[in-house]
Amino acid sequence: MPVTYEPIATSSPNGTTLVTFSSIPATYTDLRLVATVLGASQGNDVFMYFNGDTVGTYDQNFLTNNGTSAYPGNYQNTQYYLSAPFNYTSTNQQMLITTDIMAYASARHKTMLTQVSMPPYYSGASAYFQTAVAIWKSTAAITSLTVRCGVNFVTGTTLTLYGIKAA
Amino acid sequence: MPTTYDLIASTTLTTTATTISFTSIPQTYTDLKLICSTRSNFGSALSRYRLYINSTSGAAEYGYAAGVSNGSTVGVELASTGDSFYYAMETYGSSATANRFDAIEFYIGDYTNTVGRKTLTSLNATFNYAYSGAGGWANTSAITNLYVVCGNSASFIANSSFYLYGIKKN
Repeated sequence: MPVTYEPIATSSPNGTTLVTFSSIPATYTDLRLVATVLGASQGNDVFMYFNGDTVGTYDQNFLTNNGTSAYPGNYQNTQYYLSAPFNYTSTNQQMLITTDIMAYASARHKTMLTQVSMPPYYSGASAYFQTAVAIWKSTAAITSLTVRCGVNFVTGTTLTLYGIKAA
Repeated sequence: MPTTYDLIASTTLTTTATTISFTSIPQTYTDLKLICSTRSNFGSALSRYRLYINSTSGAAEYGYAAGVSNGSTVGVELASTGDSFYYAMETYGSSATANRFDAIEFYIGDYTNTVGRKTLTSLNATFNYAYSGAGGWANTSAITNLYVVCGNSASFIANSSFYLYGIKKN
């Protein structure tokens, strides 16, 4: 059985707002980022960008259910790919983010599919959910991926980048 | 390169069953993925089902929120006051077109931690509905057992399958 799902790198940040996976090998078909995130405080967002590109080349459509209502939305030509607002997170609540990045080494625009889950912020409350699709309008192969939090990541945060092979 | 995606356990039903249990889940992985393909004997086109963590008789510690599309409208499922199980999915009932089984994938992050509450995502597809959901379990215990339970007082039918994978980060 060939190995088709390989961890490229893992980071467990504490006291920083940025995690960058650099020198990503171009030998896989797709990438998958799995992040369980804890932040120092509430009310900030988690963003993602590629190759240091923050000039406004990201588009996304999303569906969010914040526990009270569901709503669609879209952003165009943004500086970052917005993964998730960080509204409910406190010291014992992890946010789960999974992002699949298709054909990341191709010379086409890159497509991402993200799911975000935040747990009930107290027993009895609802969860937060978001599904988003996005594109990075660049033909450059992705060689680095940066995840940025509006506040410091704290202990308990783990980000793992996997490479997925088609065969 | 180590294997990072291991099959922990699987079940393919040869007869009906109401509850599928994965117990004594090893604590040696980073995340869990549960993939199910199911159909029930509930006397309708669709039947609901549920996911329980560690016990099927737990407190109202689950929250979930999902977007649902039936092909023409978008709706919402959510547990705004907490629930005693994770629900964000449908499977086929006995009056659905023959040979159709649903597909669902659960992803549970950092399931062994005893500090944070657990978060999970789910994707569920039937011919009629698409669910994309997320939720959490407001409990700091490590996850050792998972239970998939057919709703509507019905049972999963033969050939329904359930695969639990462990994913390692290194």
